[in-house]
Amino acid sequence: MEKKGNILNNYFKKDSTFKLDHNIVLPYSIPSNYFDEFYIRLLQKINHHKTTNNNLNQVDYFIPDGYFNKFSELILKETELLEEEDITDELSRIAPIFKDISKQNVYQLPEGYFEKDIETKKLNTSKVYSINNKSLVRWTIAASFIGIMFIGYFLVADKDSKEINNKQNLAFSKKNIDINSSIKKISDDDLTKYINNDYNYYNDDTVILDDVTVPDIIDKKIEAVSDDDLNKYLSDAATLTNIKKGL
Amino acid sequence: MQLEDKELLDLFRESSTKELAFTAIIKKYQVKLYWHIRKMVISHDDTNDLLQNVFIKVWKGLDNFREDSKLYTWLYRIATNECLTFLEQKKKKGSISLSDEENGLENMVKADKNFDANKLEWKLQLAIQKLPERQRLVFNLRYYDEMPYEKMSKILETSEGALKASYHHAAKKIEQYILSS
Repeated sequence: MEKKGNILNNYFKKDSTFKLDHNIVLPYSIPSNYFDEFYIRLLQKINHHKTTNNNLNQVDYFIPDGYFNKFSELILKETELLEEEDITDELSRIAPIFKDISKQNVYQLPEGYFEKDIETKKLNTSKVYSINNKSLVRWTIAASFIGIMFIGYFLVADKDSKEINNKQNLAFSKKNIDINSSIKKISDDDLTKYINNDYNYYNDDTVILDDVTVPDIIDKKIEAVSDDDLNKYLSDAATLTNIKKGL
Repeated sequence: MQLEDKELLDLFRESSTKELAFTAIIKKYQVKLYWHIRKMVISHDDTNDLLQNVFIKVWKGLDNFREDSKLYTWLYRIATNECLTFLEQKKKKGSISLSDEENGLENMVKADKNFDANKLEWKLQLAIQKLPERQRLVFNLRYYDEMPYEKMSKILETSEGALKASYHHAAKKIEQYILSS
């Protein structure tokens, strides 16, 4: 041990300063001969701890004399403080001015307030909804939007539908006028001729005129034609066809 | 004769005595809770609304009340939360700052028909309104309701030490306000 100590001693005595390679200069300064006796100071400190506490890890904090003797008293005092202090004593200790103030209630209640059964009435009648500011704003925006949509519908959509209805009514009434006047203008003969020539076009029961279908009219017309007229018509038609063919 | 909370709760759980028990609970606690709320929101109308809300919530929640805490503590906690929510909403509603809100409460105190600026009791009320909400709650519960810190800590869910500190600061602030006014 002593040998090792001497070796170390000689080592530090021999090489007491650190030479930096590559000529690097550090900006920090070290007290002169700081490292010369550094190990001595260090060893002294270690020996001091060894002799006093025999514990290198213990920190050298200051403790007042007789601290641990009075420690139990201190704890007891703290527990007493934690106990519920008298409210008046506590307040007079904190703020003595309260001694001059009475605890008289300055606010007043409406007469007979607690005599009414406010609670049961409220429970049986209605719920209390608390609407906070945010939800109120949301509801207002939503209501405004719905309102705008509703008004818009009546202003735009209704106007359009009215216009469409008007146009349809006008067209329909015009149609009626045209049909009626046109029908009046057509003679029965023209009508019969037309029907006979274009029967296929009207060969549809959906076309109705005064509850009488076109086939009904044809049947009635045919019934009105006598056999003589029919024979005459057929012979005339045959003659006409032959003329057309150049026979 | 007033029934114990335990008895009232047992009666409330019986459908035949439910409403009767609830009425008894209201009658037992309405005055205490009224003043607890009133001291926080000042206005009687606001107090009336909040008190009704409190009891409606009690009605709805009493079936599920597990008796981990005492009924008294539970009621006070509901009332306290109602007050804090109301004051918070009031602040948001008017988009006003905390200081304006406090001034608002001060103005409400001053608007009271019995207000007398020379009386210490009214000065005390003005000073209380200057306190932050939590300190105001602690001060009111301790000073007016003379509530032990232990109970208070269960209602406000805060440690006793923090409550003591809060009460200490509140009392000091009030003293300073009264002395300077």
